[in-house]
Amino acid sequence: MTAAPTRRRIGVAAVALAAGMSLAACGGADAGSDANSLGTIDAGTISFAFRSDDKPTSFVDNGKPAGFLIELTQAMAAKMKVTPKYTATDFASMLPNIRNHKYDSAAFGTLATDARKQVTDFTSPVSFGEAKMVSRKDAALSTVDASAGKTVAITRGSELIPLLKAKVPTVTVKEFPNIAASANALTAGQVDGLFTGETTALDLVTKHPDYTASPSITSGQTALPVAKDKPNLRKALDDALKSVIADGTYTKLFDKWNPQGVAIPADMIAFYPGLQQRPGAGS
Amino acid sequence: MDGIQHVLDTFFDLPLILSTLPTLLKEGLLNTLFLTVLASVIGLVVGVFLASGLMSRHLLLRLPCRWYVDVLRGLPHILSIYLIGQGLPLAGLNVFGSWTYGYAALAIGLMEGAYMAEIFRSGFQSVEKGIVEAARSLGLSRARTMRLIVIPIGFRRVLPALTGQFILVIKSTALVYLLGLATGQREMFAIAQDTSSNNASLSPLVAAGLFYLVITVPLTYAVNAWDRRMREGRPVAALPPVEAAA
Repeated sequence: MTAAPTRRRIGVAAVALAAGMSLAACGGADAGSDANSLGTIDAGTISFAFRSDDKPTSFVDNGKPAGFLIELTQAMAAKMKVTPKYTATDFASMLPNIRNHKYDSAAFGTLATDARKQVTDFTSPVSFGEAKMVSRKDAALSTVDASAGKTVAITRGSELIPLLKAKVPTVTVKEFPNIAASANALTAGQVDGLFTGETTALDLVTKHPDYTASPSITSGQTALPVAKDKPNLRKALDDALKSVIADGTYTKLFDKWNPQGVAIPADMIAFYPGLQQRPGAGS
Repeated sequence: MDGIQHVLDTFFDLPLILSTLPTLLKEGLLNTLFLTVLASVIGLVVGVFLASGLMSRHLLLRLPCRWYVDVLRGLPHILSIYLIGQGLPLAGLNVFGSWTYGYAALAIGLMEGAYMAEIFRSGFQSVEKGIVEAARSLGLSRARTMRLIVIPIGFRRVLPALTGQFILVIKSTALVYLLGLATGQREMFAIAQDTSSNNASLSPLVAAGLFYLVITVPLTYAVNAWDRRMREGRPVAALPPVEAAA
């Protein structure tokens, strides 16, 4: 009795599948044409995934994407003579969707770990991560190592989790979905410290007079992800990055977006000879 | 063919799914079930009390219950969890110390209680007036009529709707991550999301999805069977033949 409808359903599924496949085939043919030598998803534009919640690197301001890496990728796109397009996304689906050609790259400095290198390629570094331990002044953790035996809040999925666990094995890491939830927990005394990137840490200390931050430790190089089957695009992004570093745009934008007292990481300057330190930053 | 390969790589990366399963089984499943039971118990108690309040003749009792249900059913779950789970400790009410599960179970229970209240109210109000009048005329007090007659009959009638709500509680437990989780405290969804981020693939989420189905589908069938049993009594075949009795 149910055989007929089932067969019909399979038929519909097969048609849908065939349609999907032919569409995919069209997309592939397009990407290979001469008009789009970079191999971006749409000729003449480059689409970036970005994070809407990572101030001041990648966030939304007045309904528009804003931040250091947004403006840096805009400058890079101008060098590549393509129009940048930005889509907000969560971190978990960012790299899979770049591999699947939903986005060309991400305006988000991603730590290039071995597991992630299996999924996408990465450009040369856009920065080197630096992290600080934030704590309450009345129970201050003066260094990252002082978190031994304590409970520390870190944003979930962050590469800072394995970093801190490797450095301070006796620490208890408590994962929170975002920096606001972590900061609430620190204020409420649910955790003893909060381990986060340097700019976020300084931002927190400015907003909360009862917080204090430890000196920074390095967490590794961050880069922009690109699909493995788009070597031309990766090379174009690398070249564009080199040229925005050479013409001083990188330093200018870094200076514009980062709180005073945050210097361009020494590792970054060592990696790109000729990269200028921001004015007024010590070393 | 590329498109299908991408879907397979993204969602159905078999080695990655298989390597996520042990952690889900050892750590996540127990935590999910534990949190579900805690939150459900709180939700049931809150729901029955609120339902009684919603049906009260006294305005002073009815109105606060009405407001509670309207507000907690109307707010996004994430906001309610933050308000209760992070609001309490921020206000200095560290009732559960730094035990995240206490705050999470309370927040989910208080939230789900609002939904359950309306389910219970519809069940209790569906109990025929005649039955209640019969109980009252036998000399049962209003409270005893409620406890002995209305609640048991009403509860039975809303069992299917309640099962649906339990399934929502199971899925709500995924929101515990909002309140911060230490290693060993992560429930299934948190484990899957972390593994997804670290491996840049959504397959671990599919692995967690399988476990949610393993819990929710048998639960639905078990409750349906229980419901049928209560409606129809034991299977007829178990009764002795009429002739033998005669």
